[in-house]
Amino acid sequence: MKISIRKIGLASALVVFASGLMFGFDFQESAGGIATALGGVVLDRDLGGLNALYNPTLIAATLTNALSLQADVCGAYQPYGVDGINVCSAGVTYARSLGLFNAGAGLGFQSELAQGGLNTIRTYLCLSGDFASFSRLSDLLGFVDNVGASLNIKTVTYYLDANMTGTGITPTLVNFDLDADVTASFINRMLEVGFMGSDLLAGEKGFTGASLSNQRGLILHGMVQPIHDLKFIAAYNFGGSSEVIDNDNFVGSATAFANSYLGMEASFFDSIFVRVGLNEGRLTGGLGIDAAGFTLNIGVLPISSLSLYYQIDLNYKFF
Amino acid sequence: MRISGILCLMLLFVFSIDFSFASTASDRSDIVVQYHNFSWNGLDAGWQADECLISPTNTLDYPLHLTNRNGNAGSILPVTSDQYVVSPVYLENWGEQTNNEFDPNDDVDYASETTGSHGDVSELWLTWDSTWVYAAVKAEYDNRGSGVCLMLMFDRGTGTGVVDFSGADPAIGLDTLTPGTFLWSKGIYFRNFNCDFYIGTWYDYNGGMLGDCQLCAITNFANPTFHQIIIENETVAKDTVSTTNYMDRYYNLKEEFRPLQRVFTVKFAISQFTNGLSASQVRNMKFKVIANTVAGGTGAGGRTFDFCPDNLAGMNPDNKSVEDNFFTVPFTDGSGNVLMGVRPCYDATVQFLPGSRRFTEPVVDTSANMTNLNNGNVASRRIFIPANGESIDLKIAIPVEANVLSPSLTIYNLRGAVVRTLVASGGITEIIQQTINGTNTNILNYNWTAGDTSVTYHYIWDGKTSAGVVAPLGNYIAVYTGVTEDGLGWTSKFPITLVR
Repeated sequence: MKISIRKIGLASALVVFASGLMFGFDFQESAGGIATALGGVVLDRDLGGLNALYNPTLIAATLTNALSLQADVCGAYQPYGVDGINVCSAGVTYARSLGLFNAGAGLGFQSELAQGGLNTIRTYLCLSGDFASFSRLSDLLGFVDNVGASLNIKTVTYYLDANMTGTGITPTLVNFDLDADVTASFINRMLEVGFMGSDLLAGEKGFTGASLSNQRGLILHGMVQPIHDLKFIAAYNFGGSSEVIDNDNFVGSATAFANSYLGMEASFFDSIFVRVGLNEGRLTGGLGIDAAGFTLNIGVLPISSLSLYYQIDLNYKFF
Repeated sequence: MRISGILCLMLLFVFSIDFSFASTASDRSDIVVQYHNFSWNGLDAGWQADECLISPTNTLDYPLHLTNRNGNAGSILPVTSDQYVVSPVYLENWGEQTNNEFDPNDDVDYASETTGSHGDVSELWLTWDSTWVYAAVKAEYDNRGSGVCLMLMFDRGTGTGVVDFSGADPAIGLDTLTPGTFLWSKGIYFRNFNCDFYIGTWYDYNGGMLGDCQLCAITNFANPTFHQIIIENETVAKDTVSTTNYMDRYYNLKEEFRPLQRVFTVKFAISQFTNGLSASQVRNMKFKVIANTVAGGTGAGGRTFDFCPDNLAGMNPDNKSVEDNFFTVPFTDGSGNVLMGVRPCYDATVQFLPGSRRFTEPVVDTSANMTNLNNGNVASRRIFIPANGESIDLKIAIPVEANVLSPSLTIYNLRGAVVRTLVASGGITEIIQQTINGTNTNILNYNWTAGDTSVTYHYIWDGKTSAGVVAPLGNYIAVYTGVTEDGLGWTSKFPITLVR
């Protein structure tokens, strides 16, 4: 009973915390059905192969067997119903146990294709490590389950799919950047808290030499799982652009919700998942089905003036 | 846990609904639109065979079992057109009327099948072909004085006409039958309805006055050349009456229970709508129509009992403001063909039967040109570089007949966040021109003429957000939105790219 009360209390505290702040991620990066459904909180555990893109720490941190290999593809055909724009992603992760230490790696690919416009190709190479039995190191830290860290090396290549003659620019642009994350789990992994820095170099340059910085993300993220079938996850981006989405918000004015993201997932028989979320105040939702090693996830973000944004992903866990 | 899951599913369902279709509130003023080539059986809508003025075979008939006053039985109003605007599926309580004109909230009359009611108008049917307009109104009269009347009122949407039938208004015309009085002064005030002409019919319940009809144009309407009504091949001059064609009929076999219910049918020349208007005005016409019952004959005074479509707010006997009674019918499709569609007023709801085509989605042509504000160069591409002095000229060409009201353009990023909103209205600097038929024109002061085809709105985006800073590198979505005169919105999306 004591544990249950503590779990519920922690969950409530985190929900209140998240509701008061709010933050999210960029939907133009094809993030898959889970993240879309959960309001853009991509820092949830177990994104499958897409961990290579968004939270490599989890590649090793969530390793439950001696080995793990997962692949994931996702995308959306003409999201928002806009002709000529398509997004897709793919990722593969591999992890293995080395005793007290788990090691993982991943490769990811992401593209945004706009006919006659700007095409973006992102690649990800990530390394992940995790002290799976951190508590054994010190009795004083017995409530800590594990601590993991990751480093993600990214390239972003832009192609201008148009006749730009006379503009004096080269139609191809390449940038590099890094993500890093530290995440710790507590109380039998009932609580998870982490801090992530995304695009740490913030050194992207534009076609005209303009700086594309100010995109650095400093993200506090957390997850509470008070019972097996229910998760609450949240994130806040201290380094976000604080872009206020002044339309289509569930809450009206989104000022208080800028850069804040909240999600909730309920599972049934460990094979059916129902997800809802808030992406900077905008309601999201989705479903997931797990069968025969495959997981199919659909996430939607309805925007009245743009119609539906959606993401579909398919994950397969080899072992 | 299970409850949580169900709630989640419900939330997902709710938010997965495309809520671009606005819902409306009325539960009594439904109007069903039926279209040609759609297999419709009136019986499916709850009608009995002898209640269908427009039969399942798409023939507008006199009600069965009846003869007209001259002993001519059978159909007199064959319909060959493609369009039907028909009355609601509900037989009861649609054109509802208080049974007490001093208590507008007392409207229980129609709840009784056996009550001889008080001027309720329950149904209004309208259809037309290339020559004639056919109308049928089912109403219920009682003996509230001689000369219970029915009026069909039309507003051609030209901005002319009168809004006040409340008293002795010279604009309506002198009553030639009652010298010194004015016609049709029935204590009606309109809102958003400027009556151009009307058809009046009357019936004497005691049989002493067999009933007549006439059409009156509002005399202050420009070029009032249509002061005649043509009914059953008889031309009736303005302000005269026909004694050979009166238009009330018992409408079904229920007359023994509802002896005062009537169906009025009328046929008049479609030129009544078009005379005096330019081709463009005709092409873009959305006429409005109201049916109402009045008492007191054709002369001044008398009561107004009911309107159809229904007056949702009830009637104030002292100030019969007609605020939500009319419905609007697009007249053509812009090419001279009769158009399909109907827009009820305010709270009313339109129900489109399966197979119907909505007149709410104008075919628009969107395009973009890069415009270099420094040197005036223009390139046909949708990529622009603000750092090089470039803006993007976002254009949308809207067919004239779409009658789009206040179109606007909003720039979204791919997160779905609003970056900038550009509005096409006076004083907005982003709008540099409106092009009509290829000529730059100030649309606000434009006098429409025949041959106008489309309006092109130009929106110039300099790449800055609403905060005044240049937006990030990326693809964006330009979303045009507008509302047609049908009252329903439309959107058109167009991708563009900002380069930094």
